[in-house]
Amino acid sequence: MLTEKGFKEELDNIFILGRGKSLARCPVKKPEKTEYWGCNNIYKVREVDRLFIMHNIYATQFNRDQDLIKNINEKDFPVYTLGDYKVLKNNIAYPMEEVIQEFGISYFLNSISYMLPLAIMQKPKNIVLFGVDMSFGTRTEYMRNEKACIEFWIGGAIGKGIRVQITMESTLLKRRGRNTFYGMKFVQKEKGEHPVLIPDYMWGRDKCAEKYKIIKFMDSF
Amino acid sequence: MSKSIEFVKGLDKIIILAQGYSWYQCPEKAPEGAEIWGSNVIYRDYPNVDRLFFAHDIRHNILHDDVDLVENINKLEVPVYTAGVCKILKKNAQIPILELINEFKTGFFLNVIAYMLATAIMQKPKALELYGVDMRPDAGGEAYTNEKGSVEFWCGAAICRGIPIKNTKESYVMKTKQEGSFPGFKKKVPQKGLYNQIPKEERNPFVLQNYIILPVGTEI
Repeated sequence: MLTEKGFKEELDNIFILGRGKSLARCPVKKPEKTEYWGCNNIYKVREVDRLFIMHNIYATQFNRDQDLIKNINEKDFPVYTLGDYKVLKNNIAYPMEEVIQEFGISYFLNSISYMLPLAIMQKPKNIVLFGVDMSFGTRTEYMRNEKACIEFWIGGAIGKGIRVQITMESTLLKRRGRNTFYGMKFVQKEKGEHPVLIPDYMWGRDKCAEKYKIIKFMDSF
Repeated sequence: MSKSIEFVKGLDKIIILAQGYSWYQCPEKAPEGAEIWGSNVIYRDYPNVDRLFFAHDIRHNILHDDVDLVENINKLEVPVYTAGVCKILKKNAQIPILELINEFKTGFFLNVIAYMLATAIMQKPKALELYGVDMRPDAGGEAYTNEKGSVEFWCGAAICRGIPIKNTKESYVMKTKQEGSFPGFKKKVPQKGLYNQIPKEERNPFVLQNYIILPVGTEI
């Protein structure tokens, strides 16, 4: 049904472009069988195939891009929005009903979280995220929930067998200062050797007793 | 009858029971064709678990939650899955981390629930139900905040593999606010770990340096 709306089948890659610093790593020259999907004013830095503006476009124009409507009307790409904007030349309503029907959930906390499920529905081999950095520096509760929401949809893509690639700069699928295998640790036995994942035993002891006792052996304060 | 250490494929439901405030809403017993997988020391509040999972060393829980943890778990005779090998437990196997990586080609396990969800997905149940997986923001901490994303990541994987997920109204998973208000709330069993044996005012990292922890009997 989505192909009727101009979506292509059999893409190798969908590159999803956010506004984080790692957007700079997105190649300017598009690989074959690849589409670039950008949000908001990303069209200014990369030639996008589809643009997603999930906020009210007048608000986006006011806040981020004074000539937004004029600029995007000079381009040929479709512009996905939640509302119906006759002022846009190539405006397409985001297929909310189909997305909710497909996944059985309505969970969209930012533009990327609208783009990801739609990308999953195109069944590309890879989804690659550039500029979707979700910086740890942005430590508001709002941003924290957004990171989790994007991770939900990445999990969805993985569940569908789509490979998801993330830039090194992104905090997605990461935790600060620790590895991502809870209860495990990486050890490198010798310099130059590949690190090995092993259980992180308490006190470095893999043997355990049935009981332990606690004894005071000094009285310092 | 106690379960075999082998996982069962194609169950009607796997119920994942963790220790968040909504734990008590878990059905009293697993319905037929379903299993209840518990995390950490939830067996103290809810002994009817079919399988138990610990991702960190069980000695953390001996120190904080249950000084008789090994004895109590061995009495339950349920399979216990741990990150490492734990020979002191009667029915122990390692969480199949390598199998999980191989299956999903990713490793995003920030807490025990993440391991449980991924392992559950691999058993292809018809549905998943979560209790006590609340991921509340007031649990605090940067690490904890990221854990919500890890749990949601695996929920996404489950949903996209056609496994529906039911969760409590009070959980923050795949939400930004609490919807329920804990009707019929039940308090959890108080902590009774090794640290509870020392005076409360001495339970801080500085004074704890005056104490030594020793094994009773042989370590195996």
